[in-house]
Amino acid sequence: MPGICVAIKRAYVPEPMYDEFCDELAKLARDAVVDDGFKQGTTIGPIQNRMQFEKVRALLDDARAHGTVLAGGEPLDRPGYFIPPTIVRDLDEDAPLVREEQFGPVLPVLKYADIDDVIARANDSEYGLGGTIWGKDLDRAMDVARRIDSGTVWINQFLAIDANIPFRGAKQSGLGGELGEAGLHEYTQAHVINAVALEEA
Amino acid sequence: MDRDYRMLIGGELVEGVTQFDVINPATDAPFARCPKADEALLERAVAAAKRAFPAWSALPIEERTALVDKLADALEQRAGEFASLLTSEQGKPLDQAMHEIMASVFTLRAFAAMRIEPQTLKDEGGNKVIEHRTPLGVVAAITPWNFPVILLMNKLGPALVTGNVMVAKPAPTTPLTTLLFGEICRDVLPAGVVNIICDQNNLGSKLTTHPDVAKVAFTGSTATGRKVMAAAAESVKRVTLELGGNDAAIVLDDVDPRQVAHKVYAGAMTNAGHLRRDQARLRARTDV
Repeated sequence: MPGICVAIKRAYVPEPMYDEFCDELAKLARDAVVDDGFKQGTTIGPIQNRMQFEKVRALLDDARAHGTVLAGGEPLDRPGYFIPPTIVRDLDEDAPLVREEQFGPVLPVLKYADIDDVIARANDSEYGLGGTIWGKDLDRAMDVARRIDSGTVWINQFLAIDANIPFRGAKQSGLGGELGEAGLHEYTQAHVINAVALEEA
Repeated sequence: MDRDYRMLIGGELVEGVTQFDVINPATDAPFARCPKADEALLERAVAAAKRAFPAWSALPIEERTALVDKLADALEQRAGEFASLLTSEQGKPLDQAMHEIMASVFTLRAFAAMRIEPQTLKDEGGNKVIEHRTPLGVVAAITPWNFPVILLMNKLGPALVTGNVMVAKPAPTTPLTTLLFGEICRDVLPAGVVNIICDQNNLGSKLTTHPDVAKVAFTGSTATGRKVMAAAAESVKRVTLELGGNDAAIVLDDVDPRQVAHKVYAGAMTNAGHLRRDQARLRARTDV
C-alpha cells in the first residue's frame, strides 16, 4: 500500500511466467479505484504528503525512461496527491525505483532464471525489514525464506503482523523490535539480584 | 476548521505557542490547524512525565493494565470518529482507516494481557539469582505519517504496561489522531503519564538528547533513525528503531502466475493482509 514500509516494493518472477504475471498485475492496476478515501469503493487514496508525492513522481519519470510502464505511471490530473497503481517491467536491478524505498503504489517487476541469483539480488540492499516468498512446495519456500536477510519473511501471505509476534528490522531497517513479549522487554531494564547468605561470623 | 486540537501536557489540554495547517492529501487544502510546541512546552511535557513516573511505576501491574484496557475501550467507542479523522489527515480509504483503529484497539488489549515475571537464573547452594525487569522512565515516542495511530499504540501499550511514562510526538503531517487520543488519555490516565506535543520537525533533537528522556522509540526513515541513534549515544539512551524497507517478493516457479499475481498486487498496493488477521482476532474475542 502507498505508505507502508513493509509493503512489497519489488517483485521477482521466473522468466517463463514473466509476461503473464506482469500482464495480470497491470490488469489489476487498471481496475483500481483511485480517489478520495471518503468515497465509497475507493481502493487507493492519495500519497500522504507533497514531499513523498514529488519523490514518487521523480521515480516514475525515471521508470518511464528506462523501463516499460504497463499501467499507471503518471499522477492524476486533479488536486491532491494522487498516483494510480503503477506496474513497471524491464527495469535494471540498479534502477532507482528498484533500489530506493518509495511510498507510492508503484511496483517494479523483475525477472530471474536462477534461485541463487534472485536470493542474492533480494538481499543486495541496506534494508532488511520484511519480504515474501510465494510457492506451492512449502519446504522449498521455507528454504528460500531462511536465506533472506530480513527481520520477517512471510510465505504465501503478506503483512501478517500480530501484536503477539515480535516485528524487527535487520540491517539498516531497525534496531530492537516492537510487539510480542520482546516488544515489552524493550521498555525495561534487566535487573539482576544475586544473593548468598552471610556466613557465620 | 470546525474543531480545536490541543496538546496534552501534565493532564491538561494546552494550546500551542503558534499553529500550523494540516493538509488533506486528497484535496491539497488545509482542513485543520495543529498546535505547535516550543522548547518551553517540551520541557514542561518531559517534566510532567518525570513527575508522574514514581507513582505510575509503583502501581500494581493489574491497575496499569486495567487502565490500558480502558484506553482501548474508549478508542473502540470512538472508532468512527478516529477513522474519519485518520482518512482526512492521512488519505487512506475510510475502511482501511477503520481497520487501523480497530487493530490499534486490539494491540492495546494484547499488551494489557501480557506480563513479565521475574526469572530465577540460579537457586542452588544458598545462592539465589533473580532477574527482574524494571521500567526505564520517560519514553519519547516519535511516530510517522503512514500508520500514525497503530504505530503509536505499538509503543504506548508496552511502555505503559511496564511502568514507563511517555512524551509522544506525532508526524507534523498527521498529528490530529494522536491529539484526539490525547483527550482519551486525559480522561483515563493519571496526569503526566502520557504527554503529547507537536512540532514541525524542529523539536526532535531536543527530545532525543534530553537528559530526562531514558528511551527513544522511533518509527520512520533510516536517515532519521541514524540521527536518533547518534543523539541517543550521548547519554546511552535505549532506542528502538523501526526504519525503512525495500521488501522483495520472490515468486517461485511452481505457482499459478495469475493466482499469485493477485496476492502480490494486494501486497504491494493494499494493506488488507494486515487487517484480515487482526479483524479475525477481534471477532474471535467478541464471540467469547
